[in-house]
Amino acid sequence: MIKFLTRHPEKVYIPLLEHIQLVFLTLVISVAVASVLTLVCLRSERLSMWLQQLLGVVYSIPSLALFAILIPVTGLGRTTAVIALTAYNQYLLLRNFTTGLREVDPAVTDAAKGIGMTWLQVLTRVQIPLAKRALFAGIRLAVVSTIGIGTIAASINAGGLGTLLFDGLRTMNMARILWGSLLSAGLAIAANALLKVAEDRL
Amino acid sequence: MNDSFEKKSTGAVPAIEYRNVCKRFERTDAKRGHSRRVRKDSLSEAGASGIASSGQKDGFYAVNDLSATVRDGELITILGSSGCGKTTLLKMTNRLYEPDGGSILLFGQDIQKQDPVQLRRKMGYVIQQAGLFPHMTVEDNISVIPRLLKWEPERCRDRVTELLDLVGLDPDQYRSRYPSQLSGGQQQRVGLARALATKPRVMLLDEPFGAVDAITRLNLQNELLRIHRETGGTFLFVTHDIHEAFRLGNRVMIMNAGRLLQMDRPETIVRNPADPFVETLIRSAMEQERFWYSTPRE
Repeated sequence: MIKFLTRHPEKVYIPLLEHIQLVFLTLVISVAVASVLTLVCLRSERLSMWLQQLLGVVYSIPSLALFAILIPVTGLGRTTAVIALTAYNQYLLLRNFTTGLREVDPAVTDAAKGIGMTWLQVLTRVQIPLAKRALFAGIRLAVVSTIGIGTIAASINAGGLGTLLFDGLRTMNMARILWGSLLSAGLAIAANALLKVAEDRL
Repeated sequence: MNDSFEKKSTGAVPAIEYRNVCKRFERTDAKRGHSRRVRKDSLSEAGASGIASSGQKDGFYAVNDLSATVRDGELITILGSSGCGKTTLLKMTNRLYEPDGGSILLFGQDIQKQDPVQLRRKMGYVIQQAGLFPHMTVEDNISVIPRLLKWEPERCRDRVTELLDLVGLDPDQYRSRYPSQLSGGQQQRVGLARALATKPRVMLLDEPFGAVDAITRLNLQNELLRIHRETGGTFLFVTHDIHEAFRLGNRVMIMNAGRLLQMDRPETIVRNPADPFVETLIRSAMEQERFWYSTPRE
């Protein structure tokens, strides 16, 4: 295993960097999309219900199947992977975002409005600061799940740690399999722990 | 005390005028989620119609054809049991709710024609348990609207000091505390200070002393009377406590089932109750009092 690393370091660290890149890109887009959807959901309860249902259905589609559906539209590669992973994340993020914001004491938001804050000021100065832990918890969940599902993205040529795993499996190369699984598991655990610490500091 | 409200020459224009105000809630909605209806109401700031909604579902009028006039500088208490519409009336006054019929005039101007946010900044608003922002210090809580109005930091600080003095809290000791580090009574004082920050000419108080003990409440009531005297503003004070209502109010509005039963000076109401309900109310209050006078104290 160590020999593999010393002999082909690029075969380990490039997939790792690709993976981190994939997760990061997905996260940024996911949070942006989820924020917009959250704002919409806060305005309309009915739409919120429909959207949650829909995203629940999307979330339950196995990842390979979702990739397969998207390939005819967006082709092989990273774009497809990011779209699919973003779609999965919406379920986790939207749920946490909306419940987090709704759980802010209505007396406090009422008071905020009553003393003359605009809805945007109520959101940014009262609701988000008070719900930040719930919001952050949603992001943490999304990151961990993206790291996991992201390994499968290798099957559609999106790179990442999945390549190590799939290559290793195909050629029965134990070192590759081990590095792939260790790094992807390690990445998920480390990200979770790190974000948890940050969350507790909030 | 340099805290008098800026008075424009309003002459005989009443501070607030309610004209045939109605507010209807749908019961069918209430079953599935009260919060949902409230949320919808309170968010639909624009596009309020002055015409009663046509929905003929199973609903009820929280406020029904209510007309009343509040003079500038009065302290009006609104008395009624829970569900009588007193809070709804107050929330329509700063457009947290929109009326389904009638109109409300503030110093002669229809509030439906005013921007809700600007309107609310002209009025102080205090609710039960203060509704302080738990993530902000006392100072930040009080100066939140001044800061949104881009006051100089210096001016904000001075105003906070002035207000803490006004509500009877030592500025140095309390300004950097968080609401969780205050007692219920102190939180109410901060809530009052926050509402007074921009020197509003009208203060809306929704059972502000509902959750504090009897001694604290009495102190707060006295402070409120003093603040009302010193500021000269128009105060609307909602309560379900008859003693509080009659003790504080220049005039008392008695509501039941969405209707205004009587609005008059406390003594006049006691002498001439206009309605059997008012009479029962007064009799029950006297009944409660009897214990104190019939128990000899040594």
